[in-house]
Order: sequence, then structure tokens, then C-alpha cells
Amino acid sequence: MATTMPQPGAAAPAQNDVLVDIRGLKVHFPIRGGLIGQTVAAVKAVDGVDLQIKRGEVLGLVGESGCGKSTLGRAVLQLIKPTAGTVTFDGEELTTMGTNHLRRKRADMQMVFQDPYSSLDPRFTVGNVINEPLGNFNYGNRAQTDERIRYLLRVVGMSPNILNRYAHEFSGGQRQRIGIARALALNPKFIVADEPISALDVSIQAQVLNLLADLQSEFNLTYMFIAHNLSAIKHLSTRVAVMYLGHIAEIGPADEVYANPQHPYTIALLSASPYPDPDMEKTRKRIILTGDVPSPVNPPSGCPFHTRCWKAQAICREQYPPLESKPGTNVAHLAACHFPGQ
Amino acid sequence: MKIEETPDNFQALDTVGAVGNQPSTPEGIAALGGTEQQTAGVTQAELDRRAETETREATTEGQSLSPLQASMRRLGRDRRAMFFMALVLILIVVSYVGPLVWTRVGPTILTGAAGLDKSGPASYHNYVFEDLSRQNANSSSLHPFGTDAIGRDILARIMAGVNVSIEVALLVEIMDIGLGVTIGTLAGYYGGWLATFLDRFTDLMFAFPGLLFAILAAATLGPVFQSRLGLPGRLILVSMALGISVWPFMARLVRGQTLQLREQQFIEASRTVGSSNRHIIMSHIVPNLFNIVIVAATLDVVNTIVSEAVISLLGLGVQTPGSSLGLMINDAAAVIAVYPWEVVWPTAVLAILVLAFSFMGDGVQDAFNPRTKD
Ligand SMILES: Nc1ncnc2c1ncn2[C@@H]1O[C@H](COP(=O)(O)OP(=O)(O)OP(=O)(O)O)[C@@H](O)[C@H]1O
Ligand SMILES: [Mg+2]
Repeated sequence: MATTMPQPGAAAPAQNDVLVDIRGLKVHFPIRGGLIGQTVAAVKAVDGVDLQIKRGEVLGLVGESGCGKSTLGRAVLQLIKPTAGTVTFDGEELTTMGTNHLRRKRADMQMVFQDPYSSLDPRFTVGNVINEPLGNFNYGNRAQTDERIRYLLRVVGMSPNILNRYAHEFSGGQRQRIGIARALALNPKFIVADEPISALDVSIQAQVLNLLADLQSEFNLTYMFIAHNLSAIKHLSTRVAVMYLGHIAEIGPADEVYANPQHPYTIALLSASPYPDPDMEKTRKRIILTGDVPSPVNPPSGCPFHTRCWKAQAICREQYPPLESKPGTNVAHLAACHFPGQ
Repeated sequence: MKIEETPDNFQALDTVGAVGNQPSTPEGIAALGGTEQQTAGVTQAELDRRAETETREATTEGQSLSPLQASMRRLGRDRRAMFFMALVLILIVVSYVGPLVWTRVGPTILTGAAGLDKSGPASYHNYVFEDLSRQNANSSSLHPFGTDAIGRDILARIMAGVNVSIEVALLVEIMDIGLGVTIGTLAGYYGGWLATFLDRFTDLMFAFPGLLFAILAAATLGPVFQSRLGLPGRLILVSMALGISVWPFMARLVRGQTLQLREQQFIEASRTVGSSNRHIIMSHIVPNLFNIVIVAATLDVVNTIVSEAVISLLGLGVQTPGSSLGLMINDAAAVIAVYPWEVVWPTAVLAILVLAFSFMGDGVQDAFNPRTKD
């Protein structure tokens, strides 16, 4: 990555089109045990992820439950300290940043949480919730803050009259909107949306998804949008990354990945999700993955997917396949597989 | 801590407003601070459309009940709890206001062993005043509850004794809540050596009953405290000993709740919007501890009142001429066969006090326990 120091003569650091640059990121949760509580093993929730998120894009991140999506998102925002690797945000390295500096930086990177219930403090009114970021950053006097809160509520489609209500009076979808208003309060550049609709009623999901899509263009936001199936993020994502057991299995422009999946795991995921295209729907054959997801404590050697892969050969058990562009695909379309393609 | 203390204050604001500093197109992003500009990112028509379509359910203006208000309302509806709460309040008010009135009520009479001293109610209705001409007197208009073995007015001594019970309970609860919440929260939030220390200390206190600890402390240190601090010295010592023995339980309770709270997403959300640990503890953890602390503290009061009475009953607490319900029972025990009322009065008041607090505690528990919703 280019140096972030301003060049002599340059007015400002060049606007890099990569907003978030993740290199070699690992998050291992120690498992303590034994007599003196020493570390006996580790959950390798994220185990070496390289990922660049470009300004203005929506990166969809999908994978089965427990594959490390939330952990990756939280590590990117430094809500958990990564075990290894770096995260460069807008030209600044976050993993080595001091606490106060990082707190200031948080204005630029926000999160929308999966659980609309646990993500709002039951003792806070709606106004308190949205005021929290504004208060932390000394937004302005009472009147200005109040104005801002009312504005944010309207932006997310809520009436400003609810300011003094407590969160428990609202439905999941409404609570999620309040959480989105909180995330928008500081005009962030980047939002990690961690399965923001998966806890909602199906009838509400589309509304919230549309709101997030609208906000993305209205506020020039960059999203890392986490979901556990590919269909949920299809119409929103510019690029899609498929995660399996702490690794990126495949990443590429959304239409490329959907049309021409390279990694057998992506193929299986696509075959399992109802496809909106009727032609594809007719021809698609379902691939049922057999076997359980291996434990992230003892991930399989070589390619972590080999234990469930119908194409697996000896090499898959021995060597981790590099994440690289495969013949016949877009250069931006990468897969970590020894035997890619259909 | 707010970020305003840092010299980079405005850098923080700049960061916030950074998007607005970009060459602004008419469709640019709403800049923070500029209210008139706020609708730049989203058109007014779009805002209206959203408000129209999405929140039909929640547009009625209003203020809803806070969790505290809801609990108070539940408590208010609990007749039994309200009755006992009123009883507790009456006992407290009477024990503090009563003596002011009582020492002004009554004629001037002759007192003293020889019956030659002229005394007014300010003397003979004072809980320390000994009237050797009226020892172990029966109930009369002068002394409705009679007098004790050295002619002190039992009503006055009971009121003074209730004061002691309340004061000890108050001091113990201040320690219990102060230490328990502070250490429990810090141990739960940060873990580390504080958590280890708390565990060991609580184990010790489990193995070593608090009352026994307080008795030993009162017996060994009582004379020292009394000679240094006078009569209230004993009261302070007993309170401290009881306080030391109860706070670990409060701390453990608080720590457990803090551990649970820490996993809630609103804590992470708070961190995400730039809150410091201190801010998170003060505005998210502590307020959410309120319910369990209030319930535990109300029930602890019952134990404290009983423990203080037991210690005084053993002669290790408040010393004569001071008064305490336990001490009164102890004093009267010697003459129980002849003057049983001298034991009955303080015992009955102690029982009423304890029962009233514990029934009130039950009501508070029902009203504040997060699992009971109406
Ligand atoms: N704080 C933690 N301590 C220990 N292990 C954890 C912790 N957080 C997550 N894990 C483990 O890390 C792995 C990845 O978890 P993560 O929550 O990132 O998965 P996910 O992909 O977000 O799943 P889901 O779709 O269910 O949200 C899981 O095995 C999980 O049990
Ligand atoms: Mg998750």
C-alpha cells in the first residue's frame, strides 16, 4: 500500500480508492483450561484474511453460521483486538492506534447490529440512543443536537415524535431503524452491517434492506454487509466475499460470482439458495453438503473445505490453495481452490 | 470522559464533519452543524415519504414509562408492599420526630432516689434519664410503656433503639452498595486481579459467617472504638464489621450481572460510537444494575437489623446509657420473670421492624425483578 504520509508539494494525501485494507487478519479466541487456566487451544474464528474494501462499494460477506463473519467485522472495527494482521482504514493503521485516537476515528466507521433487541439499552430513550454518539463527539448545543436527532429519525423513516419513548415499545424493524440512525449520527464513511435483517420478520426485511440501500447512495457510504446466504445480499452488493471457516474462499464482483462461481463451497451455497432468475431456477441442481462444519479449534489441514468437498484430492488435504484469479474469469474474481469451476 | 479534554477536540469535530468538507455538490452530504443544510443528503420529499410510509405505528407523540417508572408503578399497585412500606416509614418518622415531641409532653414532677428533684419531661422522657424513684414502673400516663430497672422511660429508649437500628442499617447499606457496586462492576467489567481478589474474599466470607465476624470485631475492638470515638464508636464499629461482611455478596451479585450486561450488544454499540470505558460503565452498566441492587439491599437491611440486635444483645454493641433494641432485651432479660413487659416491648418493635422490612423487600423484589412484567 502506498505510504500515507503527505508527499512534499502534495496538498493532501492522495485519495486512495481502497477505504479498508485488511491484511493477514487473524482472530484467535483462546480456550483456557487446565489447572492454572492456561491457554490450551484457540478458536481460530478468523484465520488469515486479506480483503480490500473500496470506497463507495457494498461488499457482501456470506458464509454459514460460525464461519467468522461477525468476528471479522468486529475485528475490522477494532471491537476485538486481532491476533495478527493489519487493518488500514482511510490510510491509517488501526491495529496500532492509541485508544483516544481510535475513539476519534470511530466517527468514521460504524456498525449496524444483528440483534435489534440487545443492541439498544433498555434504559435509554430513542433520543438518548441517538444522542450518545453526538454527545461523545461534542456535536453542539442542545438545540442543534435535538435538531440533528430529529433529522436522523426522519432519515430512517421514523417520526421525530418518538424521541422520549423507550426502545421496548418498538418492533424489531423499528428498533433496527433506530440503530441505523445511531450509526449515521456521526456521518460515517464505512458501516459494517452485521446481518441487519436476519432477526426481522420477513415482511419487514425488504423495507430495512431498501432503507440501507437508499442511505448508501444518499450518504456515500461504504458497506461491509454480512449475511448468511447469498440471496439476501444479491441486489445490494457490488462485490461478494464467501467465507468458510475463517478464510475467504472466493471473492469477486457480485454478478461474476453469482454467474460463474469458482469455489465448490460457493457453488453449493448458490445451489441451496432460491435463485430469483427463473431460467436458472429450472436448471439448477441442488448440492447438499454432507458432513458437519469442522471445528474452528482444529480446522482441517490444507483447504479447510476438503472434508465436505466432492472434488477433493490429495493436494487439497496438504496445501492451502492460494486465493487467486482463475483462468477464464475476471481478474478481480479470486477463489481459493485447487480445482475451481463447475 | 468526553473527548473535549483532549487538545485535539476540534479534530474530533473535524473528523465528524469531514464528509461535509468535501467539495459540496447540491446533492452533497448533510454537514454536521448546519441545520439548514441537513436535508441535502435526502430530499425533503423523500423524508416525507419515509415518515409517511414507515412509522404509521409510532407517530403518536408521547413519553413512555421508563423502566424505573414502570417498576415504581408495579410497586405502587402492590397493596401489601405499600402497607409495609408505610409501616416502615411511620416507624422511622416516629423514632426521629417522636423524641422531640415526647420530651415536651408531661408535667413537672419530683424524681430521684429521694423523690426531691424537680424534673420536666425534657429530663424524664429522655432515654438516658434515670429516675430511681420509679424503677420497673408499670404503664402509666407518665410512662406508657413503663420504666426499666433504673427508671428510664421505655418508650423513649425504644425510639432511640429504633434510631440505632436504622442508622446501622443505613451505614451498612452505604458500605454494601458503595463497595459492592464499585468492586463488583470493576471486577465484572475488567476481570483480572480484582476479580480474583473478590472471589477469594467472598469465599472467605462464605466460610466465615458475617455475624460471627462482626461479633469478634465488636468484642476485640469495641473498647478501642469506644474510648476513641465515645458512645457512637460502638455503633460505627458494628456497622463497619457488618458492612465488611456483607459487601462481598453484593459485589458477587453485581459482578455476575455485569458479566451478563457486558455481552449485550448495546455495550459494543456504545463503544462503536466512541464511548470510553468510564462512560460505558456509568451510563450503561450501573443504571442496569439498579434493579438487582435495590432488591438485594432491601433484603440485606433485614439481616443487618437482626445482626445489630444480636450483637447488642450479647453486650458487644451499643453500651448503656446508649440504647438499642438488642441492648434493651438484654437489660430486661434479668427481670423477665417479674417484669415480662420490659422484654416484650423492644422484642415486639424489633419483630415489627424486621417483618415490615422483609415484606416490603418481597414487594420490591416483585416490582423490580426484571422477570416479573405486568
Ligand atoms: N468472544 C468469543 N470467544 C470465544 N469464541 C468466540 C467468540 N466470538 C465468537 N467465537 C467463535 O468464533 C467463531 C466465529 O464466530 P462468529 O460469531 O464470527 O461467526 P458468524 O459467522 O458471525 O456466525 P453467525 O452467522 O452465527 O453470526 C465461532 O466458532 C464462535 O463460537
Ligand atoms: Mg454473526
